[in-house]
Amino acid sequence: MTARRSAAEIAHAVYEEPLPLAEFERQLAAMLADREDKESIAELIAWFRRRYPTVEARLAYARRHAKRSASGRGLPTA
Amino acid sequence: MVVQADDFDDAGFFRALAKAGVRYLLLGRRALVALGAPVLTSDYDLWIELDDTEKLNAIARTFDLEPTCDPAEARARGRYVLEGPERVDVMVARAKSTADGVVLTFSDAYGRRTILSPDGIALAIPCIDDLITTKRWALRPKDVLDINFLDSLREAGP
Repeated sequence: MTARRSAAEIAHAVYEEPLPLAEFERQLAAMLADREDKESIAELIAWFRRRYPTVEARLAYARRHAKRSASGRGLPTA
Repeated sequence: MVVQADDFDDAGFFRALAKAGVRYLLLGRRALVALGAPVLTSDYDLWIELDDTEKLNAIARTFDLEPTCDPAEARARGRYVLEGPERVDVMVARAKSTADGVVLTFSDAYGRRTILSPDGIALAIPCIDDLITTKRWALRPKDVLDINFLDSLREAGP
């Protein structure tokens, strides 16, 4: 057995492991209060909607990125 | 022949569900993507009306998606998977509650649903407030991120 964890295991722990309710609320409140982060997200959404103006194009984007991730060439997906 | 994920006709799949009158809601990150959030995801999450399981499975088979169990077992378990060129997680439950006791019923969420691209793909998703409730079911760190996106999508408008 090895103590080293794969990238997938680390990503799972970071994104998928459930939090206690109080910690979930704490993280959510902190994130919603971060104005810089909100501006960055608003810009991302505006870009994505300009780049992929239709629902069909957005779903095709998600399919392409899932395929790229499955082949090991992209970020891990959730 | 191995079918690749790119071969899955999701627009055709959702049009077929609408045409057949299957009562479904698209949940999870694909719903966020459809609304306009550039998040990554590898599967589809559907919440369906219990009585429409057979209709969904019949349509799914025409898209090479096979259910992992029969409808009776799916209803007993509360969820099952459609597997094929895509993976579709299907929730079959009349209601689900958050850790702090907020109950969301399928019929209420379906009644408040939004239809995206009504003249095209006709995709049924919960309203943003209900999507936020679904993101409080599992309390994962990624759900914090997704609620943040949903809050921004609400501010951005349609």
